[in-house]
Amino acid sequence: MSASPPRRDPPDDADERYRRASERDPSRPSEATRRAVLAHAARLAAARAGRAGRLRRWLSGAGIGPGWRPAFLGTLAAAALAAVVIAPQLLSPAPPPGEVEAPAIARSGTAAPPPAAGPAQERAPPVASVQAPASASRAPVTPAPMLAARAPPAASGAPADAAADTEDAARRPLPGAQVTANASAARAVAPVAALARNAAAAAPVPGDPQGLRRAAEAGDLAALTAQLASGVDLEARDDQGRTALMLAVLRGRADAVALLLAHGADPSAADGHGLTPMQAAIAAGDRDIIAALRRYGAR
Amino acid sequence: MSDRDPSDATLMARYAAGDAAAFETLYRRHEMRTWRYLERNVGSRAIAEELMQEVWFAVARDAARYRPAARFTTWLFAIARNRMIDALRARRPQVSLEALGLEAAPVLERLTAEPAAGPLAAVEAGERSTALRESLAQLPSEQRDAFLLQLEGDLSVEEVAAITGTNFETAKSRLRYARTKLRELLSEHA
Repeated sequence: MSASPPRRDPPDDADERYRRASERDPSRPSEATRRAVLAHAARLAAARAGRAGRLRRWLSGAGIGPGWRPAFLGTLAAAALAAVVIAPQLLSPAPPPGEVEAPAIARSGTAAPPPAAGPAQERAPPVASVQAPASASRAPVTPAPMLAARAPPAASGAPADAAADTEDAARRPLPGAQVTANASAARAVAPVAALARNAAAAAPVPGDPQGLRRAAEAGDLAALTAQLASGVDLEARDDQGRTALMLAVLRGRADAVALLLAHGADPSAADGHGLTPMQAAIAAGDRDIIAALRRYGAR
Repeated sequence: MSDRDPSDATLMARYAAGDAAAFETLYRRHEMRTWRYLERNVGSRAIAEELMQEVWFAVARDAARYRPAARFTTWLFAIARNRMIDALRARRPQVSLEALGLEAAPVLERLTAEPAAGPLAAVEAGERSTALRESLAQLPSEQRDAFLLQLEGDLSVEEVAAITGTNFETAKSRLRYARTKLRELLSEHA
């Protein structure tokens, strides 16, 4: 099946006769059918539009603009890079006491001469953002070659000269070069940690799947409507793999079943034992629910 | 549909993004074709009404899954046919595709058809549509299904074959027999 226009045979006399007779046929679907179809479609459209709007608002609230996809992917890449850089350092032995000044140099972003240990420790940021510098300070065996090989400057946020420095460090493992490489890692990690903190603080709960299931099971239409309006995941399952719809079917809550179906719940979502809502409804002999499920194409 | 009208695929994409008006346009564009396919196949207005809802509910629900790689009408009529077969299977103890006879259109519907032409014209129109139904009802179900798919769905022989799960030659043969028989039957009623 393709989108190209179909290949048709030449017009046939039987086709013409059929079309002429069809034009004079007054039969058409009832207005009630049309209204039911369009109302159902409008409900689904509203639910879709609502979900999309809530997602946009959430992204906006989290400080993520329209270009959130590239930014998100970049963040993921930076986080992966940071993990690659930091993990070996965390696993390495503790540094000798003389190397504690490294974090201060890393934050400054330059290969400056070693400052005194005191001021460096005074400027230490909170725990979430100091991991990289702290680990850098504990890294007598620097992972500079790894950084140079895996992290393009654009992904890590490190400037090109820092990458060049890192390559130098790989060839010539001088103390200054090691510090520069770790500075790149620090710059890569700091925005990630800050973004993660912001997202965690700004992220709303987009709905309560457990509350939805409870409302469906109890046939509490007011609570169910509120949950549906919150954009909750309709297909979230309990520990036995049952969706809200399945729970409503099992309890014989025909109104809740109708409401969930109208909002796009999957009518054929089987539970963890492979039982479908239709099978459950048939087993219970609930004709209204069977009819509703059939109307929505349940298998 | 004029060149300026949005394509079916465009309307589906708009609807999948939450535009209910796009769905209404799509529905009105294909309403009668879907109706004629269903009603003339099952021969029962009541069953056809139910199927109309099921088919278009499915279109609305699965809008996000539709891919323009397939023509919308191909997708739509595949859904319609599957729903129809399911419905007829579910009713098998009472009714089957072969056993389904004609269900006369409600008298009121006939009398209110083409009101401007007067009651007599309305009755004549009803008789002509009955003749069409009688002719279609005399076709074997596979031939009627193939013919209605092609005429109402505007589908190619290849598409009819794909939807009905047959090969090209079988679909073409069914269509040829259907046309031969219909030509003869509709001539009798002319």
